[in-house]
Amino acid sequence: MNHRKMPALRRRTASRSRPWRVACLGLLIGMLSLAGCAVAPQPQPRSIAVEATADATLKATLAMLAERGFVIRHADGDLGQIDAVLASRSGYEVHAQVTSGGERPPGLVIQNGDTFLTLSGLRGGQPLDALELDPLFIDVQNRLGLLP
Amino acid sequence: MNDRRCRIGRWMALFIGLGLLSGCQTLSAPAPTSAAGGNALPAACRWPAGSADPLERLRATREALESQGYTILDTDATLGLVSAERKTAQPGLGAVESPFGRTGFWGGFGLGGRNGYSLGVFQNFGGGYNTDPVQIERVSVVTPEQTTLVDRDSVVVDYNGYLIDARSYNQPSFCQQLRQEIDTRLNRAAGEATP
Repeated sequence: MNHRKMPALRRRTASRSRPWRVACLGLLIGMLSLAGCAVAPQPQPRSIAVEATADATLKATLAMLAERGFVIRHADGDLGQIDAVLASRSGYEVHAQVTSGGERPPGLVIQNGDTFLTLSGLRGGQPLDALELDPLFIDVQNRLGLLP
Repeated sequence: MNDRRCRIGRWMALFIGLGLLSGCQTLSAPAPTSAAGGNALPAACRWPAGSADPLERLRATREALESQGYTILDTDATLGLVSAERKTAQPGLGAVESPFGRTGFWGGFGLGGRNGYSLGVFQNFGGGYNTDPVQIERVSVVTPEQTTLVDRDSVVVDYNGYLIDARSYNQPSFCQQLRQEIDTRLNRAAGEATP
């Protein structure tokens, strides 16, 4: 009696579980797509090449950041790197790197010499774009006396 | 007649209001990354570095900052950098507890931008026995060429990482005092060296 009922029962449970499986799959895909949105945006570096020594470029960059009120957190003259921050309602973080010769840095927009200056940064967790980084480049070039 | 006057009055009020609002917009400080943001420091926070030995000056700067309770984070001799920070508990600042969260005087929920700050700093303060907000003052003194520049900002964070206040904190009085302390130390060092 019991044995004869079993297949019918199993079939019924199988047909009932299929929509559940689809729903679970949909939920999983939905959660995965949401998790994709939550990835922190990466800073987008932007570079120029200038006709000056690496030392002078680094010092001009440091002076530019300090004059604009940025607090220099770390800087290393030998590595050619500067980390600066500025607290505001949406806090700024700026990273500068100066390299001489060698490989072309990412996001190179002007090539006038062999010393590369790369700037990247975040503002309130969002990457600084060209509109915000370009005034800094112009300021550094002004300090180096490269602009008319 | 009366209706017309009323309408003119309404338009005038609108224009005056708009003028006031746009005035506020132009009075606010320019963004530090804008073309006009290049002159953010008060005059007291920049001074000619003088003829002292750069290394002596760095040591004097370091001591002057440490004597004010700052912790030195980084120094660099080639760039003339001393970077430091100070954490001060702000008792009573966090005493605004209500069932609706923090509202009212300290800005409620509108104060965004906590992305840029590291929130794990105060984990050791948690646990309910010390829940005072903490002010973090970050300061850097740099001498890239002939001019010494002092930059400072301030962040006030609740023990659970809630950002209460964040601002640029370049006070002329702080810069003057720091300059005096650096000069005193340099003169003392020079006085000891000469005889």
